[in-house]
Amino acid sequence: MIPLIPLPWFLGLAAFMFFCGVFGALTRRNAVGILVAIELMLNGVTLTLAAFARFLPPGADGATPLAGQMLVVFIIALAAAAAAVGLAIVLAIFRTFSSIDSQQINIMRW
Amino acid sequence: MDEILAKSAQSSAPALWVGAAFAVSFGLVVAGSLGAALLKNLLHAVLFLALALLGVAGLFLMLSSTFLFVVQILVYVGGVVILLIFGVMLTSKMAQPDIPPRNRQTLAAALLALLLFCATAYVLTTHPWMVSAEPPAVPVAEIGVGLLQKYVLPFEIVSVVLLVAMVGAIVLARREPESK
Amino acid sequence: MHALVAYAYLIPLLPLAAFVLIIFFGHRYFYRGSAWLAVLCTSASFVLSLAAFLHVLGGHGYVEPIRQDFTWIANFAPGAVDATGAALLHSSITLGVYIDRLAALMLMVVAGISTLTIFYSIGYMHEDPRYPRFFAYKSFFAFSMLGLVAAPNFFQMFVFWELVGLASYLLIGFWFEKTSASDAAKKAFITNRIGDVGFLIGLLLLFYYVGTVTFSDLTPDLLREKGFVGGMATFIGLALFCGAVGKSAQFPLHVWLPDAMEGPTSVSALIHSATMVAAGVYMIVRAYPVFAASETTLATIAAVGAITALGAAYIALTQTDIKRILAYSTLSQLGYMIFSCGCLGPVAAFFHLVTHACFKSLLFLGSGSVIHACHHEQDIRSMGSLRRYLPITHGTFLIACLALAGVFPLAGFFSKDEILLSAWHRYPAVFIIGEIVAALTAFYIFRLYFVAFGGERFRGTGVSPVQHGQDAHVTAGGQHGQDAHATPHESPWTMTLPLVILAILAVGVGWINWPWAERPWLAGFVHVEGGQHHHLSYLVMGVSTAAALLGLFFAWRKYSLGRALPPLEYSKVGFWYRLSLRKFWIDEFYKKYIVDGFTFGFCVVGMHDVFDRRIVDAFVNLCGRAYMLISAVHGLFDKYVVDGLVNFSAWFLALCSTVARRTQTGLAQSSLLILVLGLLVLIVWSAMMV
Repeated sequence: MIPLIPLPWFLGLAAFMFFCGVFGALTRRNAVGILVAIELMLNGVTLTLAAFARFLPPGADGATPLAGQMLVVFIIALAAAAAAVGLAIVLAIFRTFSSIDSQQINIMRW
Repeated sequence: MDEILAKSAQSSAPALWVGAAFAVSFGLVVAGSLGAALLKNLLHAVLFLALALLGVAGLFLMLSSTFLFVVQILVYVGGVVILLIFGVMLTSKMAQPDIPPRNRQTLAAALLALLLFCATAYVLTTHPWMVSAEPPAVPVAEIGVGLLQKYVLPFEIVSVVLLVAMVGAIVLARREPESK
Repeated sequence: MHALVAYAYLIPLLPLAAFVLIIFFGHRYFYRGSAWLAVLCTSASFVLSLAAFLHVLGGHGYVEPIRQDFTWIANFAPGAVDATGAALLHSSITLGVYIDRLAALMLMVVAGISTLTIFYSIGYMHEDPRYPRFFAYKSFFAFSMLGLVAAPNFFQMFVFWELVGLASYLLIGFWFEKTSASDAAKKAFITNRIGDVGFLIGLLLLFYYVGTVTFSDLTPDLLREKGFVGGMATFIGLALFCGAVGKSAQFPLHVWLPDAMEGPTSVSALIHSATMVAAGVYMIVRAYPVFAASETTLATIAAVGAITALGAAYIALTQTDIKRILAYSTLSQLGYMIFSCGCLGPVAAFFHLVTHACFKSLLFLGSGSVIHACHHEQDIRSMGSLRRYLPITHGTFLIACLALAGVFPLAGFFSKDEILLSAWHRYPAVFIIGEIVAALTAFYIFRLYFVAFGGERFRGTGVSPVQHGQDAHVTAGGQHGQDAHATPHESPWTMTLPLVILAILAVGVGWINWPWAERPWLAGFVHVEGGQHHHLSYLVMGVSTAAALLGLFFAWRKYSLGRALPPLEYSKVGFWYRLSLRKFWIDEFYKKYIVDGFTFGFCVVGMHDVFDRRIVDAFVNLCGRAYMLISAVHGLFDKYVVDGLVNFSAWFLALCSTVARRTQTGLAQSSLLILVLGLLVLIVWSAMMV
């Protein structure tokens, strides 16, 4: 049976999410805003993986539906960790620079 | 509940319902993503992020990944979003209101993101995907067994990473000892 | 014991290990243990030396020397020939140990006395703030000296020759807070350099003319075959002898040794009496055929030795600093050894080297014990009646004095007799000088003995208001002057034990060459090519014993029982006394005419100055003007063409970097933008590839 909603729809939506996140991460001046954008990007990726797990036929190289879902689970766990650490970094940055404006933090310069 | 959802996501549900559910999820994701990326007010942005995450959860359901659906709701909407709201509120006093929300590379970034999206969409739509006819059934039990057998090593590594992240977050967010 | 022979190469290396460990870790990790580490390593070297000695002793006939070496510089001059056009005997230079009978004995002397003096220093240096460093330097000295003794060729000997010089420098200047000590260290080092230049020249010339510097090759036969005779042989011999003059402190380079007494006394005992200063004598004995090839060289050696022996003994007559008396005594005894070498008596010289090492280090260690007991007072007039307070030191010191004076049957008697015998057969004039020196020796050493140990009471520092020469030395953290009148006390057992051991040696070590034996052992054991051996002569023996007893008698007449003290007011003494006291004014002479810049040359310099200004300067100025003209043209070219290019390239680079640095904002998001751009490129490119 052919699935009702075809794979490219899911993938396109995931890409849209991802690039919204990219745009946000590139342009937000508030560090927390950047974190939000990064979460968006991560979710786009998890959506892609879940879609592949559903649609692609099991490959000989262990690419089973279970593997796809497992990957998503791990990404979600890591994303949670990233969010926690990211927020702590934002607080630390604020203590150091008295600002969370990403345009003010240029210590990587020269 | 697992079986009910699985059943509904499988063959017997009418196409109309499936289409409607997809449309709703689709709309949630698109609106949420745009809001999260574009809105000036950070708190609003986070709330729109929550909407997008909810939409993704719905899509997981439609992809017959019931376990991911639950995890998505629990971890993201219940955890990460709450954390981000905390972050916004903790730093709201720090954010100077007079500075613009976006930096100077906005135009370039928008153009770039758009181009990338177009390129990706082109690849996605033109690529001849090999699609399996039968939706795979992955019961939650199998995921549990997989976590503790086949994937026990990554599982343990992730647990260590989480521990380190926890400790690291505490260390980073803690006040410097000298400022006591 | 024979199994240990395989480890003979460790003889010098063990003290080196001790040095490295102590210098790097001593102060922090085993402060007091560093002394025991040094004792352990040097005594292990002694045991290995003993094993090597027993090996070459053989028991039945001749045994091949131990040779353990590796190629240091391989085939450094391919195809090179020596002066006769023959290929070099050895075009590689080896490093390692070469232990024949001579070296085996010398190794035992060096390692044994090193061990004893290091052991002695445990007590003597106990209060010093740089305690571990002292033992590190001592170990370093032991390493250098053992390496020198075991050297298979002149090159290695030269390397270690310099290393012992360095060790000597470090140890003389050990209390470098004192200006006199650091000056003495510099003086010793520089004076030795003068001799070493000669040594190096001689060594290189020897290599050029003979084609080898390996000791075992330098036989009279080979030298004759290579035509090593005449003026060149004399020159090379004298150049090499320069090294010995510097190291063994012979006239005219003797001035450093008395000043070297600024170092700690156990250093003086080891380095500046027993071992290092004997290195010159050892070198001559080692390469004796080279020196014996020329009569002139031998005569010069004998003359220098005799002059030094007599002059130093004469100076020693009036000194009042206990260590200075011993230092001049050392000079005088080294003079004995040197003139013995010049009188075809290398074995006698070596024999005296061994016995002298025993009794002179005993004298120095005893004087160290005295100085320690008298709270760092070195003037013998401030001592007196020490026999009551320091019984062990007194007994051993007396034995050493008798041995030095050459009284039968102590060590000095036999060796001095051998030397005088050689002189008697070769240069009777030197023999007479030697007998005079024997009498003087007995006199000055018993003068020291009677003034310091005799008498009825301990006099204390108040007696000597006039301090000439150097002051009584002050240890870096020590107390000086306090408790100066307190009663002296015997030294701890770590200091007296070496005294007792050395006293036994000072009595017995002379018997190794028992002259009434069928064939005296040492003379048979150490065979030096070119040396001569003579049967004992009761005439020589009787004259030298009479000379020694005469000197002893006069010393007893003048100084025993506290009858007289050396005078306190030097303005009242006569010329001959002052000549001795002021050491023939040699130091003053060197200071004025050599150190202060060649005063003799001033007249010549005046004439030279006129020539310089009128002719040389004029030419130089002309050249200068011409050059300025050329420079002006050159300058214009430089300014507009060369500089223009340089400036343009700099400007261009600045332009590029101005553009480039715009991208380096240091903002994470800018970098991210570039990264995403890269992603776009990647996607488009891979899509096109498909």
